[in-house]
Amino acid sequence: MKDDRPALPSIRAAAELAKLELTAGEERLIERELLELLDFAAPLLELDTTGTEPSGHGLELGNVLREDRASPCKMRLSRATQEGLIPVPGAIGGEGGQ
Amino acid sequence: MSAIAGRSLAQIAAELESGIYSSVELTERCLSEIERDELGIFITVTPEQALFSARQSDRRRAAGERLSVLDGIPMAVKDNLCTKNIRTSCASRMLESFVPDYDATAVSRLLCCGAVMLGKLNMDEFGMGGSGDSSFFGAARNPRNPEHTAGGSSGGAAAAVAAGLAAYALGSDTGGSVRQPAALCGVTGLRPSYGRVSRSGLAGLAGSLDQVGVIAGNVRDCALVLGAISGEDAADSTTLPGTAPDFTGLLDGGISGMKIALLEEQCSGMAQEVKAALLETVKVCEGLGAKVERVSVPLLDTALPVYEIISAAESSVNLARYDGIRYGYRAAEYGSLDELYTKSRTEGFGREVRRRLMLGTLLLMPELRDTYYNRATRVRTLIKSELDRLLESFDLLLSPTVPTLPWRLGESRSIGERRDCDSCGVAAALAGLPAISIPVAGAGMQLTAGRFAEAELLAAANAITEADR
Repeated sequence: MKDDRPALPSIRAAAELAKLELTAGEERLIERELLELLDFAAPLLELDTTGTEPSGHGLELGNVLREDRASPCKMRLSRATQEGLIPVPGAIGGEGGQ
Repeated sequence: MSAIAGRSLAQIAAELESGIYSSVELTERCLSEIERDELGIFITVTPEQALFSARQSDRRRAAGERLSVLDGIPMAVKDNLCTKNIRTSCASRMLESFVPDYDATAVSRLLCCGAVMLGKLNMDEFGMGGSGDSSFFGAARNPRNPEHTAGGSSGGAAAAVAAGLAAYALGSDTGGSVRQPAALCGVTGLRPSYGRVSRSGLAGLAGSLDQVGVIAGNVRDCALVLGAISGEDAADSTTLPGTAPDFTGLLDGGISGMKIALLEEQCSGMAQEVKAALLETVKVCEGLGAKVERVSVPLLDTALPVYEIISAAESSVNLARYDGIRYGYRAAEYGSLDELYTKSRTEGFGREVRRRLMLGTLLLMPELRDTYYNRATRVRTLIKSELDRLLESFDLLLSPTVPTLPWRLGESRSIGERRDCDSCGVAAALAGLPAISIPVAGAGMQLTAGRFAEAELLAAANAITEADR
């Protein structure tokens, strides 16, 4: 089964997508844990799932629609707002914080 | 000594009604016991709000305007359920200072019934874990033995009820996170059917698996609280349409004539005490007139890898929102927008969360997505169909909730041992079925019923626990 395993994605690329910084040791650990999980999941690859639809939930759910009517937004965010806008750190021009 | 321990909601409600004590007196006693608590059960205690609610309750009672049987009774809420103007941290540095401006629907419904909220309960960070070890605030300890884990991820909720600090608690269950700590702390924990209770205001871990659950001292109390929090919610389109049925109506119906399937695949590797408790449970069921039959469902051996893949993948998406911009932890120093995101997330999340986010992200990358994630969702369909088919022939499924007893906090455990905690709990979550953990002969036993059959499930659980007394 281990020889049938697909090639692994790049741990570093995954960390970039996940927006996480890993040390070299953490990268190696994640790779080992991924391999362990893939081996643990090997029995799934032996099951015949031909014609089986994927399940996104435990229920059969369809789209739930409501009337297209505007209503006040119930939620604000916890950062202080200024004139209805949320101040955030500068993102243009590579300006960093502090 | 606890003012609440060993008392049912009905008893407390009757004592409030007859004036033996007031809600304020009861709440003050609970708060004073919480202040003395050294088990790390609470993350945030809310004495002012609790006493305000208690005073309101006493006024209503004096005017003959009690809102419900829950009116004036102290409870607590897992810290991943939003509570208006009260910190909701998910036991994470990422949300250490996060204060929502709305209540989760389940919380709101309880407050509308007059519930008195004592505070927010400790848990595994973002619900990831089964021991409390990952909590930014340190693990909650088991009231039955403070050297031992209270389990997780709703460890604080189970411990609060077990210690008599709260009459009941709201938790959340993704793959056993209400049932497992309930079992380890010797109380009752109910995971409703997916769609029974609104998830609005619940910090999501895995949206297709998460459910708000109830932990209480007995089955009847779980039924009462479930009735208060269930029902359609416009803020959660995955809730079942319509109002919830009465979950207490069948409670005294017994289990005579029921057919119960004892799931073989979930009975392996049991500790001696758990095995003895399971045998006792079978004896009790048969003594009550039910028929228990050992059933093998080999597909259940795939439930845990399916769960691990789906929950990791979904959580990697759910937790992408924590980016240091709109709310949550923001790194103090960064050189670019990308560094702001990366440093905030790396510093804000604990080790277990970062591990699971990495695994989830990897599983959704093109190299692995089809072979593992997409396949896992198909095997999920097979598991769901298999359990549905089984529940056409049987009324209930029986297994231990956890095959082991509580372990020592901080104890080094192998991956296999850690997986054991989830091994019996994930199948019901994958299939969206209701399941309950009840204490029988010193260990937690799990019953699972058909979709939306909470009334029947609670009736059976009640019969077994009453007979076991």
